This record gives sequence, structure tokens and C-alpha cells, in this order.
Amino acid sequence: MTEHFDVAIIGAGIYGLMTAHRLLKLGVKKVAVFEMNYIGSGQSSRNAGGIRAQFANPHTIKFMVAAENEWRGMTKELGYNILFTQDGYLFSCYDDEDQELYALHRKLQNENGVKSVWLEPDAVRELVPGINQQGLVGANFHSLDGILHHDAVISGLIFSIRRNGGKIYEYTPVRKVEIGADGKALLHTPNGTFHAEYVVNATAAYAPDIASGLGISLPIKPVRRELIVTEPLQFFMKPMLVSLKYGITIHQSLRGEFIGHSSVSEPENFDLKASFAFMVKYARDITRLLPFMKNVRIVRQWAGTYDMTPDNSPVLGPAPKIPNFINAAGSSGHGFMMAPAVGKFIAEYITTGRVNELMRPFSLERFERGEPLTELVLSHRGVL
Amino acid sequence: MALVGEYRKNQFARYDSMTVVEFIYNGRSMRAEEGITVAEALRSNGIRLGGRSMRLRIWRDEYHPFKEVPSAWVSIDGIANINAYRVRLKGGMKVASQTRRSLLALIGRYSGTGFYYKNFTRFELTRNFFFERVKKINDYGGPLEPGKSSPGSVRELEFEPSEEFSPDVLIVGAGRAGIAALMALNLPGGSSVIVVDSLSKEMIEDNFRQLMLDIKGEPFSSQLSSLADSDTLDGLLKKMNATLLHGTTVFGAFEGGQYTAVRGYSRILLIKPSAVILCTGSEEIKPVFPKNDIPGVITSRTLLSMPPGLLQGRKLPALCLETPLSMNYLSRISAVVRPTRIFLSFEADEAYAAGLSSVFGVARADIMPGRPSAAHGAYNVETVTISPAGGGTKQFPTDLLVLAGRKQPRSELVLLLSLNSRMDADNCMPVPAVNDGMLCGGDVYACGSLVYQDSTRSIASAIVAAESVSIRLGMKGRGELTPALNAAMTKRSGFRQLQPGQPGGKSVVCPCLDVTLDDMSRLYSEGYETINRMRRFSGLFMGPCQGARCYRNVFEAYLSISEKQLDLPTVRPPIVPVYLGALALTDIQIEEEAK
Repeated sequence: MTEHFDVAIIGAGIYGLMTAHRLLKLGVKKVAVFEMNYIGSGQSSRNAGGIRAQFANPHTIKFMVAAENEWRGMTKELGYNILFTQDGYLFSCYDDEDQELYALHRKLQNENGVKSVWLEPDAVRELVPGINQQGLVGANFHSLDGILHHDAVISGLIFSIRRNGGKIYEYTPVRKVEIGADGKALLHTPNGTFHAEYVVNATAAYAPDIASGLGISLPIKPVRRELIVTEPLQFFMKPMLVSLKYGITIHQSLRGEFIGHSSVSEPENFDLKASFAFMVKYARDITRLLPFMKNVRIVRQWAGTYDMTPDNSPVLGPAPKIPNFINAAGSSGHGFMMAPAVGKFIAEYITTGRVNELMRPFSLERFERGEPLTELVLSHRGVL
Repeated sequence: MALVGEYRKNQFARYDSMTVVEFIYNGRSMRAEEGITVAEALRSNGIRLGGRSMRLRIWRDEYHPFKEVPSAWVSIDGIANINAYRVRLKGGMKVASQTRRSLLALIGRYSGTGFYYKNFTRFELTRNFFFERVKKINDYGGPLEPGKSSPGSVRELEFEPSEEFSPDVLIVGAGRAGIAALMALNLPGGSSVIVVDSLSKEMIEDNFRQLMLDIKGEPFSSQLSSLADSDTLDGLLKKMNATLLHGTTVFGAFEGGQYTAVRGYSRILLIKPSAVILCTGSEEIKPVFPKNDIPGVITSRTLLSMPPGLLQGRKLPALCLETPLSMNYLSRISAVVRPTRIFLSFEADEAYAAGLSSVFGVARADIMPGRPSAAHGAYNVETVTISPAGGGTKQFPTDLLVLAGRKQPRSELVLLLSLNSRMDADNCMPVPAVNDGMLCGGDVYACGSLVYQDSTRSIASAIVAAESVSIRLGMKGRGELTPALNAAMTKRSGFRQLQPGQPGGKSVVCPCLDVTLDDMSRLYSEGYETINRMRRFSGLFMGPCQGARCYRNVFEAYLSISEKQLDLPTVRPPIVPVYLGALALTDIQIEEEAK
């Protein structure tokens, strides 16, 4: 079985599917997505669905603004409700934290097109009833950040890709990618070898394995991350609440469940087992931040794999010297937020050959050039 | 008003109290005998159970495939999500159905499939619609007031610090099987045992009495060492140096063999035993692949539990290894069936392939990589289709395909958690096969499931499990089926089949979220083709029971609508809901990440 494709995308996660969707929309005919497991089996169906632009690096902020704009039109574009609500991200600030840093963040964000504001404690209380008020100084808040339903996005993308003639091969791991003498790519899978003009490597933490066959070394490591979900309460908390002090996030889904995430020291591997330490750490922290939560029960805990890079930002764009091998991996926990812009820019590159200005800073060469996208002040590691 | 009188005469009658007390149900005063379960008390007052499906507008048990397991979530004295079949009635109790005014907005009332369905597929319906619905339906304490410390009327609870135990043996479940396992243990002096069950002490004493009735006159009762001189549960516990933790539910098993349980709602228990016997009953432990649902395909566990000689007519059996199992385990398979071909779903090294070849006496050329893929219609009694690495597909004739691998029993909740926490491939070895519900490995021993009224099987397998643990801890025991136990085991009753086509197609597959058989087939036809995708869309496995009640229904329903391979989701802790407040008081060290 030797099939020929214009674009072969490895990995049916959010990056891969979004790129396929955008390519088909631009009129590229033969697009195939290869997935080693079931569609969306990785982090794309394990994340909390938060979308934010409150970052602390000019390039990342601009990219996120573009992505947020794309998300806004996604329900219409897919013909499928992705349950995207823009109720803001709220970064709570307590008196033992450095308020200067919050101000610096706002300044940087405002300069780059994100209208984040400072909220006084009264306003914070209104948005998050039940928040611990002892020592609460205020919060950074950006009302255009939001939450969507990741499973809805994946479902919508699958239907859109199939409707437009794209192919998705499930349970078809790509073992090796080669570039032939004619410059075209060969993808070896247990179900046969496939030819493609362009290859997109959207395999998250598996991306280094795929790239190493072509002599490219990607600085991406897998790290386990865990989330919990509680029983549902009446919907009352609209924004995503982030506490950098405790390193936790929490938001309430439309079903009323609270979904939360915390940073515990986790092993660097693909282990997806749940750990008791995480459960206890989260419980300790969240009951300090939202005291009423102690009366609420956890119903489930699950784990996913972050694909971390040294500067917590993805590697996007064509590989050095191999213009038809494109990396889109290493999203370090905010892949979902960036996805529509990633899909758009990569599709744009494949159809026109231009690398978008917003995507250029995310190239692999940034590490060699010594221009990592490090955050200005606060590490956002551990915050979804 | 009819008291339980009539009802008590039937098979469930296990309590002698005749004290009649008053209790409140949804604001109405009712009377029933003290000490019967809340569900029984409600039934005697004409209330069939404590739950009603908002979505389907029916009593939940009416169309439930397993009438014995209705979804009876009620709130008692203000605490929600309590199973009415697990709590005994006391005077003055305030019981409320969760379909009316409850304190918490509960899963399944307006959400579930119905909510997802409407909102996912019609994008103009947005949250405004949802808010309207919530406001109308969910009257749980009025609007939130700014500055109020807790939203709505979430009830304030008191929690206690955690406790630690390290017994020699942990028995999970104190039903008839659990108590039989305790009786059959033969441990070195000074050993300690912990028995954990979510029921109250009185109900466990009922189980003890019931066990005594069940085993009276059974030939195998002589194998219960402590039977002769303990006529009360307390006597038995004292004799065995055992602690009974009643009202305690195991909710997780983690790496390193640590079990976590919650006592009442308020205290977390950390238990680190040397060996575990799981007697968690029919809801939690069941074989995932029922024997006859896919003709010609059998799992290794079922295979090992079959009487010898049953497979003698098979000429071309094939074995599919899904994970690398130990040679020890494989040699047990080879004693029952000799495959002519072996397919490996993983990459085996040379030494492993050599081992396989010698264990089964199969030529090396007949051991090949390749996974029978569902897309090619693989599981079929005449041929098995394999896609080898070089491309293309190959077909091999077969008349029996044996599936072996540790991934199979994915939804056997407690059991699977236990195995995950303890096992690696090398100590994956079952103790002597007892029945198809039994699984063992390493330090974890599980007894057979109590399927409806079929108690002797589970008691017999519990005895074998307990004896195996005794042997492991250096004491005597047979740890295998004696003729008497074997005779008990052959009395088997079949599983009840899911019956599609109830009026309106409303057979409830998932009792927590009211997902019906019709919903599943509709999802399937709309492109949600695997269980994992259906789950993400409909919420299957995501209710308060976390799959304990629904996985088997889901599995059977899926087989009835699809030819595809099953992909049941991973089981994860907590398998019962646990309060964050109790977890927060757990005394363990946590390595926090540098901020």
C-alpha cells in the first residue's frame, strides 16, 4: 500500500487536527493524519480547556491574542458548539506575594494588546464568591480569556476533516520519517509506507523520536501533570482562577463541576497513573484558597503528559534545512490555547511558503541563537 | 400505610427489629422499622426508590437493566449522594430525593447526555439557555450574596486527621466472601488483619449470620479453621487479631501498594498491607470479556478457569499476547492449550521470543509481530487478520484466538487499581484458577464475584484466596480447589443480559447520568465510534459511581451495537467521591515543585 499525500500530519491531537482542518479549508486536497492511538488520545482530551493571553513575553502575548481571536470564530467555522465562554482569567494576589510583578505583567500585556486590569478585593469577591479574603490584595484580570470544552473541539474537528475529504488513520504509529532523494518524505507505519510532500510533526512529547530520525534534535521532555474534577455545584464561578502563590488553577465547568490543576514535582516520563501526593497537595492548597471547597468531593483524578521545552514555549515552523518537515510540538501546557493560530500559520506556510511573523520567534533556531522565549518575571510553569 | 411486614418475609429479610420510628421524606412524615435500609423503608411506604430521572422523566429503576442495583442516590440529613441501600434507618432521619430540592446540583438532573447533546450539536444554544434551566430547576439555597463565606448552602462539615495502618493482610469487603476469607486465614502468631467495608457494623453482623446459614452442611466448611469456636463476629475478629473498619470505603490504590480509604466522610486512612484479599463483590469485579460474546475469542483468564479437556477439539488455536507476560504465567496457558501461532502486539527481544518458543513448542517462524486490528475485521473464528510491519495484511486460519495481556480487565475497579499499584509483568501469576471472576497476582488476591444469589461460589473462591495468602506468609494451607470447593464452584448462575428494546428504548446503561442504550446507538451512528469517544461526549463512567455500576452495561451495550474492539477507559482513583477537606488533613510528605 503506497499512497501519496500532499501533507501528512503525524499526531491527531489538537495541533495535528487543527492544521489538517485549516489546510483542507485552504483547498489542499490530499491531507492525512496519522495517530498511534485513538483520535485525541493524548493531552488534547486530558487538559482543562483554558484559553488565556495573560503571558509575560511579548511574542507569546501577541501569538495568544491571535489565537483568542481565532477561537472566537471557531464554533461557527466548525459548525459545532465548542462551548467557548470568555469570562476571563483571574490571577489572585495575596499580600505575601510581590505585587510589583503583577504590575509589570499588566504593563507588558497592555503594551502588546492585552487589556488586563487590576481588580480590587471587592471586585475579586464578586467574581469569585467564597475566595479566602485574608490578605487578599487584588488580582490581575483579563476578560477576554476564557474556557472551552476540549472534547467538543476535537469532535468538531474530526467531523470537519472527514466532511472535507481529509483522512485520519487511527492506531497507525509512524515508526520513521525519511526524506527521499527527490526531497519528498516517506512515512513508515505498520500499515504500510506513505509518501508526502510535507510532513507535520505534531506528536507532542513523542516529537523528538520522530525528528531524531532526520538528525534534528528537539529539546522536548515529557512530564506528568494531573487534574481533578469535583462533584457539581450550582454554577457561580465564571472566571478561571489562578493562584501563583500555590501554583494551582480552578474553574467551574458549565455542568457545575470544578476542574483543578496543581504543580507537584512529577516524574519525567509518559506515566499516566494517578498519584496520591497530587490529590493531597491539591486538597491542601485549594481549601486555603477557596475554603468552602473542603465541603466538596473529588470524583475523579486523571493524568496527562506535558511536552516541556526549556523555555516553556512550543517549537513551531519548518526544521532548519528541511523546509518540508514542520515541527509543531513542545507546547509545555498551553498547546490548546495556541492551536488555531498554529494551525492557521502552518497551513499558511505550506500553501504560500511564508513563515508568519508571529510564528517566527517560535522556531527551533531560537535556542541556538540564544533567544529563548523566557517569561519576563513569573514562571507560568504549572499553570494551564 | 404498609409496614415492612410483608416485605420482610421475602429473601431480603435479615433484621429482627420491630421498633417503628418516624422519618421525613421530602417533607412528608413516614414510618418504618428502625434498622432496615433507607431504601427498604421508602419501599414500604410506597416510594420505589430515592431517585428519579429528570432527563428521562421516569423512575430510574423502572427501565434499569439490573433491577437489583437501582441508582438510589438520596441526601440524608443534608449530605447528598448517599446510596439509600447502604444506610440504615434511624428515627428522625431527614431523607430527600435528589430530584427535588437538594443541597447540591446533582449530576444527572439536567446535565448528562441530554445537556451535552443539545449543546454540542446545536451551536446557537449557549450558556444563556443553560442558566435559565439551572435557575428554574436548581433551587438549592437562593442566589449567592457577595461577601458570604460559602456559596449557596454547601453544608459545613468537620474533618479529622488521617490515620495509618500497616497490617499483614487487608481484606477489602466484609460480605459473606470477606468474612469467609477471614475465617480461612491461617497466619503466624502476632499477625494483624484489617477488614474494611463501607457498611455499618450491624449490617456486617447480618452478613456473618447469613454466611453461617449458607455454609451450614457444606462439605468445605471444615476448611474454615476458626468456624468451630466463634459464633459471633466479634469473637471471630478477636480470634483472628483482626480489626473491622466498618463504614470505610477503599477509594484508591497507589504505587508501592498503598491503599487509601475514607472512614465515614471525614477521615482518610492510609493502609499499607503485605497482602490483600479483595472481596468487593459483584459490582466491582467482573470479567470484562464474557466468554461467549465474540465466538472463538477467549481471554487467558477465562481459559485458565476452564475445566481441562474442554478445548481438546481445537486444531488451530492462536495466541495474541498484548503485553509481555511472565513465562510462569504463559506456561500455565500452555498446559491448557497449545497455540500453533503466536502474535505479539509489542516488540519482543530475542530472548523473550526464544522463551515463548520453548514454552509453547512453537517454531520461531510462527511467532510474529502484529496486532489483529479491528479495522480488518480481525476477531473471527475462522481467520485472524494481521497487519505486519512490512505492509499489507496477512490472514491465518484459526479456530480459537486466545487474548492474553494485563490490559484486559480494565474496569475491574478496585482490583485493577490494586494490580496497577503492585504488579509488574514478572509477578503476574494467578493462583489456582477458581472461576472466571477470579484474578490474582503478586500480593493481591481477589475472590470470585458474588453474582446475585450465587454465594457459594464466592465463598469457595474466598477460601482459596485466603489460603494462598497464608501460604505466602509462611503458613500451611492448600490454596487450591479441594473436591468440596470444586463442587461448590460448579453451581453457577448466568449473568443477566442487557435487554434492549424496553418501552421507548430507555434501557438505562449508565444510571448516574441516565445514558440509555438508544443514546449509545445514536452516538455510534453519529460517528462516536469508540467507547472512549462516546464517554467524552456523553459522560459515561463520569458520574459519582465512576463506572462501578455502568461499565458492564456499557460494555454489553457496545457489543450489541458495534463489531469493533472494546476500548474501555482506564480506572482511576478515587473510585468513590472523597471530600477535599478530609484529603487536606492527610498526613503525608509532598515534594513541591520549586516555584
